[in-house]
Amino acid sequence: MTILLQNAVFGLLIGGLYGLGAVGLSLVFGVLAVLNVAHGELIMLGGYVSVWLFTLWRIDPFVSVLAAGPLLFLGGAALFRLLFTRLISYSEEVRIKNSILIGFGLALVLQTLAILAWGADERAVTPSYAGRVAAIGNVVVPLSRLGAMALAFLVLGGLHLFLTRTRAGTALRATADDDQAATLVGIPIGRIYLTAFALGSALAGVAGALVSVSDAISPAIGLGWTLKALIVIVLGGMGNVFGTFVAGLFLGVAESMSGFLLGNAYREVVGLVMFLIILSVRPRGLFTR
Amino acid sequence: MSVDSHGLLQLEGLTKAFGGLLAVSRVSFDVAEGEILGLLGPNGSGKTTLLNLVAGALRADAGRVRLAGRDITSRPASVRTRLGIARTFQLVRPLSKMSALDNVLVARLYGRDAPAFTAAREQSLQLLDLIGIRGKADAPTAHLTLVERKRVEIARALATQPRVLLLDEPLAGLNPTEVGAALNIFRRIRDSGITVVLVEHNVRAVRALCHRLIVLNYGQNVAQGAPDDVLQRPEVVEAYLGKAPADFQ
Amino acid sequence: MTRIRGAAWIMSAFVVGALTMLPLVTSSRSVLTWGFLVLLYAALAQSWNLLGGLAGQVSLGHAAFFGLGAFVTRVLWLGGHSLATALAAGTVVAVAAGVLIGAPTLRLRGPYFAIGTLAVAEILRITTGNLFPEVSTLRAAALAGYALAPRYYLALGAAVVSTLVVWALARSRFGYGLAAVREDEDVAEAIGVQVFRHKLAVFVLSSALAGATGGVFGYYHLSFYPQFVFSPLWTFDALLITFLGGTGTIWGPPLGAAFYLLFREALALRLVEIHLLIFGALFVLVVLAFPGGLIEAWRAVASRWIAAREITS
Repeated sequence: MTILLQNAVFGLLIGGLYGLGAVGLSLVFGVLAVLNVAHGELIMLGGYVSVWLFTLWRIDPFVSVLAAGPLLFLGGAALFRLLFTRLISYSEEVRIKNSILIGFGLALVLQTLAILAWGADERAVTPSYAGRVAAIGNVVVPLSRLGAMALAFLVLGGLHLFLTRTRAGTALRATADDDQAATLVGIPIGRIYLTAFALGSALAGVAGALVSVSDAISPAIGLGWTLKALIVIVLGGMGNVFGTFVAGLFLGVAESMSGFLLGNAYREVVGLVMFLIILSVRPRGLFTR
Repeated sequence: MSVDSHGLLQLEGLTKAFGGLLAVSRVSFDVAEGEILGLLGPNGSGKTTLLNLVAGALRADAGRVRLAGRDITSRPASVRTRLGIARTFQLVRPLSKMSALDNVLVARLYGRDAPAFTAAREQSLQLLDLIGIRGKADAPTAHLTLVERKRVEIARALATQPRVLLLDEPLAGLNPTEVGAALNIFRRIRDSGITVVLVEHNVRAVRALCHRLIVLNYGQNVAQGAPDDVLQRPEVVEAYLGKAPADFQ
Repeated sequence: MTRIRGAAWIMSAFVVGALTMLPLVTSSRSVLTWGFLVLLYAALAQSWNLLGGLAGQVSLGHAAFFGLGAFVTRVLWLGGHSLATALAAGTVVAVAAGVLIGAPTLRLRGPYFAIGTLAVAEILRITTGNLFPEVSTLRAAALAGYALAPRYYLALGAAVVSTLVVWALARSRFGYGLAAVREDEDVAEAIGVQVFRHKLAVFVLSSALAGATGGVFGYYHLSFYPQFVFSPLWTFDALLITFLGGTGTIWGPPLGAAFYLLFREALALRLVEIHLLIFGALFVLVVLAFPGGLIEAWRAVASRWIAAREITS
């Protein structure tokens, strides 16, 4: 029983990060109809920001979040300007298809750049509190992971407030709903698209920095995180920040449970299988587009 | 299989709803072989939805479609095409990266009584000639004018050797000269033995061309008969213009 | 146009002839290896081209079939069966997988099909890695008798066959149907093309060719971990090469393969991964700006050259 709970706890803790990792992608897809399959690479880059700030100047990863977010925001804006602006003039179907292709090329480029710059090896961040745990009964809760999850939750809360309480956020939601109508009421679509993409990238950066708290970072982790994000989006639907978070938690727990029951090697498979099942039952997944 | 004496194409109680919106509601009528039937109605009356139901692009929620007595309600669009129903689209949809000839050629290869490749190619060229765009055969359809693209669309539909041709607002966007030319093409199509169902807004054209009219409003069949008769009926006028003028006094 | 066609025929015959002669002319291991890889990649890309280029169905799970072909062939061949049996079995398994995977995934529209196939390939990779974690090596006897030439010819065969299949399909009735499906599925359905059947048929054919190509690889590679042949990099390479050469064309994939491996060899001397960087960037460039790839560029140049000559003559 304890082992079960232990697994569940670990699942929840990583699931929070899954949710955060997915929200950025969901935002971009919802507002722009662009499926950036290089999203995982952006998470990877966020992780590297944290790794290097720690390696060079001993900066705590939780603090690095403050750097990873803005850096990836700018990086995302640049990428958008460079690669995705052309797509905006196309229809939704063409946009999605081409963005998958572009994203895939971009992922390759980013991953290779990372290998060239920093080598292919894994790197870890080891702050002084790394091993500390809290014990709840027989269950061990690693404090750093708990902290990461808490921060992820806060960030998502902030995002929710941004989307619902600010003018810019409302404009984003309006564009996601109906971009033609949004143009008609005077929303500057071009700027909204740029903001959404940059914001999505920033969220990926934050997620990456938080991942570095408990997991090693290497150039190769990108694809795995992209797939996780896609699974979470399909599980939780779009348009709802907290829905995505909950879906992330669900995926985390499902993974750790199946890891426990079937062996660690099959943890990844369960998410992919769920993904396929949902897609086949509802061929549009739970995407609202 | 006996041919039902009621008509080549029979619609019986066709119904289609999209969520809460009833687009087509228990529409029934027959189309006699060799006639040109006009389908009128204001925007949103369900004309295109009805065409889609007949062509097989949409599944009906209720009702039957029969072609030469044979129930085709559960057949997908591609099978209906091979049985003899062809259609054009309201917003022209050419296979844009392919040439005009290739557009027609594919249809010829997959239509009714499809011939071998070389013969299909020859026949496709002839069809383009008949429609009047032989010269543009090799041009990618993306480079053609609207009129030319509409002609390709019609040639493509004809290439499947249909028994019934469903035309969805083919005259939209055409000037009077072009309309005249189109009407001549439709007459030639009818003369070659093909039954035509024409969805149109252009009342003059419909009057000139159709033997019979059906008027839809809010998804229902509200009038049926000869053009001159139908166009004067109060319920038809009301469908287009609202209340009859007398009520404004 | 016929002048280009005639020239193309002569050139292809020449190229195939030269390729056939290669092992007789040189015994340099590196040249033959390079030749083998070009042909292998050409075959793999061509098999993807069939599905993604001719039919317009962008699959990101191609490695699944390459991997199945490679793995099954390897296991049977190392287990003592004849090469022919092993290759045949690998292809058959790939075909069966093509049906099992194609039928549900092809019901998904465009982008969901792409991601869905990727998910399937990843499931296969992870499961294979879990069930067969040990590396697969050739025993000493097999190593001693290892000859590159037969592998080379097998790869040549795969490349020629897959190119011929693409060529034959493109000019056939079925190929025209595929083109219609690629352009506009609703219109295709409306003119009598049974869209799903076409998609499934080409998916299975593509899987068969990928499986056969994988089988050749399974016979060639000295040692590898079983999950390696299911790696998404194989899919990415197929896409890169096809897009660069020109999707939907007949000569695009082989041309792209030659370029790709030329670069890889040239650049490997300096930095191992830099060819991926360049090709990734080129790929994005092609998608954004030159959808036709090298072939389109070649055609544009060639037809302008021909037109210029006709004006001056």
